[in-house]
Amino acid sequence: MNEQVIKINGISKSFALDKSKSVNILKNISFSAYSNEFISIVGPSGSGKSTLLKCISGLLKPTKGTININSVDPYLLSPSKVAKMRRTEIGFIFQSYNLVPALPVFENIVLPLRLSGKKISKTNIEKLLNSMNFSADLENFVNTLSGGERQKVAIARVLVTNAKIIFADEPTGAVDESSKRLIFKILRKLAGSGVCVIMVTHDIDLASKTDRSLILKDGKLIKILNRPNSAELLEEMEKG
Amino acid sequence: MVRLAMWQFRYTWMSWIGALIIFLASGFVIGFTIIGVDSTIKAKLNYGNFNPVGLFLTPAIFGLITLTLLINGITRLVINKFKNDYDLWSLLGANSIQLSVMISIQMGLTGMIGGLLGYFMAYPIVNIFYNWIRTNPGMTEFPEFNMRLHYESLILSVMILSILIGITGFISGEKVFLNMNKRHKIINELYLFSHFIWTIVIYGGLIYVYSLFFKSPRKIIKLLGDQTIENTYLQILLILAILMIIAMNEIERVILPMFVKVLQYWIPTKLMKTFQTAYWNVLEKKEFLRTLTLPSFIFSLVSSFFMYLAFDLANISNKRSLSEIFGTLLLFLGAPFLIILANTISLTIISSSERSSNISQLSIIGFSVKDLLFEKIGEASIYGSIIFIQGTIGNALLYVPIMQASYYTHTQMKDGWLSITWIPATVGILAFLFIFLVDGIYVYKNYAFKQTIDI
Ligand SMILES: Nc1ncnc2c1ncn2[C@@H]1O[C@H](COP(=O)(O)OP(=O)(O)OP(=O)(O)O)[C@@H](O)[C@H]1O
Ligand SMILES: [Mg+2]
Repeated sequence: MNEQVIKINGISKSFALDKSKSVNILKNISFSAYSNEFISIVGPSGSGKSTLLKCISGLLKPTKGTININSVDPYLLSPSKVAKMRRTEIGFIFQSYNLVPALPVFENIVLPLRLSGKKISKTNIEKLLNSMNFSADLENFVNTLSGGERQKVAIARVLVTNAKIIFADEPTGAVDESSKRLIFKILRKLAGSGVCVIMVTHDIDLASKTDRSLILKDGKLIKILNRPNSAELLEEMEKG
Repeated sequence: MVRLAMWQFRYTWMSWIGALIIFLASGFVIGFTIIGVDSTIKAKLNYGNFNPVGLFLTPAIFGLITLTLLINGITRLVINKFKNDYDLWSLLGANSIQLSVMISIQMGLTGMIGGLLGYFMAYPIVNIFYNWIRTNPGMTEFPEFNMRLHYESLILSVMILSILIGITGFISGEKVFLNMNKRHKIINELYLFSHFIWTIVIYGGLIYVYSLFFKSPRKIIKLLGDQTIENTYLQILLILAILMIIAMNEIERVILPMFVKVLQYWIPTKLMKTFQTAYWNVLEKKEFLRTLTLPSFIFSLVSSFFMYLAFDLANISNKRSLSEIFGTLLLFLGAPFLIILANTISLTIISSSERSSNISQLSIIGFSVKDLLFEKIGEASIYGSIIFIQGTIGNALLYVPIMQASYYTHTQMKDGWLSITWIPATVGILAFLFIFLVDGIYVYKNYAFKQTIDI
């Protein structure tokens, strides 16, 4: 049975531009996500995809509506509970890698474990990286790595935490073709093993290989496609 | 956590150099006290009415109180500088305590270095100071002995400083990371109200004391309990100077932006295309402006005050009382002032990158390195001018009562009106040079050798 892990209920988000003006970026969006599910969020640039992902992952409080992650509203948690949730229940992968420049590769990967005071096995990490065709030295600092390598480090960091929900914002946006396929394969496999993956992407081809696509336009969720194919996706995006 | 903090420290140590200045000053003050106290105890002289321990303790007490008040600003600035890093740590699940521990360890480490260097710098000074203090009348009975360096006192002063800095760093880190700025509404109103009362008391007091100088001396003497006329004037002059400093602290936030705007009309902006941007830059960094101008104001007021006492009101302040006032002030205010000054230098260095944050935009739209340096000259001269103007106004306000005092005590003023500008001008020029040096180096380092610019 696939359980509901995320429930989004009527969220809107507006930003105040100055005292009197504000813009509505997200408009009344609702949906649910389940374990074992790979969801893609697609839409034109500026349609609010990243904003939506931030709202549902607990990084940006929506102006209206509620969010539940594993039946808890992250915006009602104490800061230390939020921190714990981020270490143990959810994982983030961004286009900009989000690696800590001060730390070498190995420390970057095990950072969430260190923060939770968990045991760390170096051989496990090495095995994991090998399976991702990662060949750079673990003692290197991350700014010496290529884009593809950095993203692999970021993904390895999510993998070691055994997070059950993964948020990814254009994880393949800045890597080469082969890294892109590998990264997608890993995410696909995770979703097959009970994880809920929510990925923002511009890539119609990748979106067509996910379980469900949410199509966003001007901050509105205009369509949800189950088992989408490329033709459908293109058509919906053009239609608006 | 310690390990992670060490990694972060290794990565960011350059920016801790800025903070090192204030920690060094604090280490100097603590070293001063510990060396003095330790040497007294080792010489078995810590007894009786003329126990030097009390003498040595005073600077540390006042200095450390000042340090704990200022650390908040330093912590905030350093965290802000690496905001992206710490945002990321928290995204990955670091809680506020873990982040504060990281900051605290890094600050403690820097504090250790400051404590170590400060200790050795304090050694010759504590010797000189003690020997000088003993020459003052009323203090000649302090015993004579030699200061000594000792690894115990070294470890003690390093430990005290780094632990104090670590703890206060942790507390202010926790405040920043938990966003605890938002005060409760009632507390906020209470705070505003008591602040309002305080302001009224200070300004009321200032006006009252000021008006005393225009009354007949007999009335004032009665008011302060029969004393000599010279003593009476000396006392109200001191009170006036202190009130002026507090009053300045209150009003600084309001008048500084006005100063900047007025300056905009005075200096022909067409002269340099970069001047306009310089104004906006200075206006935007109001808090920095204040951390810079306030200690400068205090310094120029206090030193002018002494100048007038020493040269113009020689009868009020014969050489003996002058040296006593100076010694007492040094003992009580020397350490706080040193630390405040170091704080200003620290903040200038740490926030240099922030002050130049829009520089990369300017360089994209076609400012050359020369233009950028000119822009920095513009900014630095605005800072310098404001320090000069404020100091001069402060001195002018002080000069009138000094003239009154000299009139009623029948002394001839040697310094004319122009003398009110000397010290403010010196301080203003020094501030100009210092800021231009710090920011100029920053700009030069970051833009002179760069062909490409990262946005
Ligand atoms: N903090 C903010 N303040 C004001 N407006 C914002 C803010 N963040 C985002 N926006 C606006 O919200 C809109 C949506 O931004 P968002 O980043 O969610 O788009 P996106 O769909 O992810 O676009 P892209 O595909 O280019 O990444 C944009 O018009 C953006 O300018
Ligand atoms: Mg985006």
